[in-house]
Amino acid sequence: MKDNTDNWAKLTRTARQASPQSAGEPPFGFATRVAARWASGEVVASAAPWERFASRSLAIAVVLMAVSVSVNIDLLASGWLNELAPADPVFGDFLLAP
Amino acid sequence: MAESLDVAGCLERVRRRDEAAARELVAHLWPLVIKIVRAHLPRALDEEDLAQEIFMKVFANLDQFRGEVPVEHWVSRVAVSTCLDRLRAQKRRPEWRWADLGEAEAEVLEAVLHNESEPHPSHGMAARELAVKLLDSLGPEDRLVINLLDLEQQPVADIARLTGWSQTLVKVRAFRARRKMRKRLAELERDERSMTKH
Repeated sequence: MKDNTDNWAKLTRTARQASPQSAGEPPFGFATRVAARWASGEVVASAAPWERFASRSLAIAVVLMAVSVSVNIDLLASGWLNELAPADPVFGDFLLAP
Repeated sequence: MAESLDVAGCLERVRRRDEAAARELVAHLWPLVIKIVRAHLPRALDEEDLAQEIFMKVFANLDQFRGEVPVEHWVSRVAVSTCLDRLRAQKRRPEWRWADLGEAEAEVLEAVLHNESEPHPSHGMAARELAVKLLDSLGPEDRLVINLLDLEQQPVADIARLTGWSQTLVKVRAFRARRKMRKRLAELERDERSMTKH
C-alpha cells in the first residue's frame, strides 16, 4: 500500500493554486440593507453556547419550580393560612423543652 | 472609495448613529469579511446571510472596540468566531465516499494518491473542492485551524490571535486534524480499490 503520509500536504499545495474568488464590492444593496437593519435597532440573536445554555437552564428551572409548587400546594397553603407549627413531634418537643 | 476611507472618522460617525457611515464601513470591510466567510462557510448556508450576521455583530459590539488594534483585526476575530458558532451548529458532518466525488475531484484525488509528481496547477479548483469536502468530516475547531493553516497558510501566531486559543492548542489541533485527513485519504483510496475490483 502506498504511504499516505504526504498526500494531504500534496492536496493542499494543489488547492492553494486555485485562483481566489474576487471579493470586490458587496452585492448591490447589501451595505444599505445592513445599515438599515442596524439603524432600526435590530439585535442579532447571539449564538454563544453559554447564552443558549443559560436560557435553557432558566426554562427548566421555571418548569421545575412550577411542578414543585403544584405538588406541594397543600403544604404551602397550610403554611400561609395557619400558624406555623413543627410538623415533627420530636422537633416540637425539642422546641418546647425548657 | 473604500480604499481611501478614514476608518477612525467613520467609526466615530457610526457611533453617532450615522447610517451613511455604516454603509461606508460595510463596503470597506466587505472584502475582509467575505474572504473569511467563504473560507469557513458551512454547507447549506448562504454566504451573504452569514456576512450580514457578522456585520450586525460588529455594529452591535462596536462600543467594545477600544482601538487598541486595527479595526480589521477586531472584525476578523468577530467573523471567525461567528463562523465557528455556525460550524458548531451544523449537526451533520458528512464523510464523503469515492462514489460521491465529481469527475474532476476523483481525477485530482487519483493524481494525489498515485502520482509521484504534484497534480497539475489547473487542478487547483477541484483540489480545493475536494479538500473542503474532506474538511467536512472534522469537528468545527479542527476544521477552522486546518483551513487557516493549510489552505490559507496563515501563521500559527495569527491563528492564535484570531481564535483566542494558545499557540500550543492551535498546533495540537492542527496535528490531530492532519492525522484525520490522512486517514480519510487512506479510506478513500481503499474505496477506490474496492470499486475497481467490482
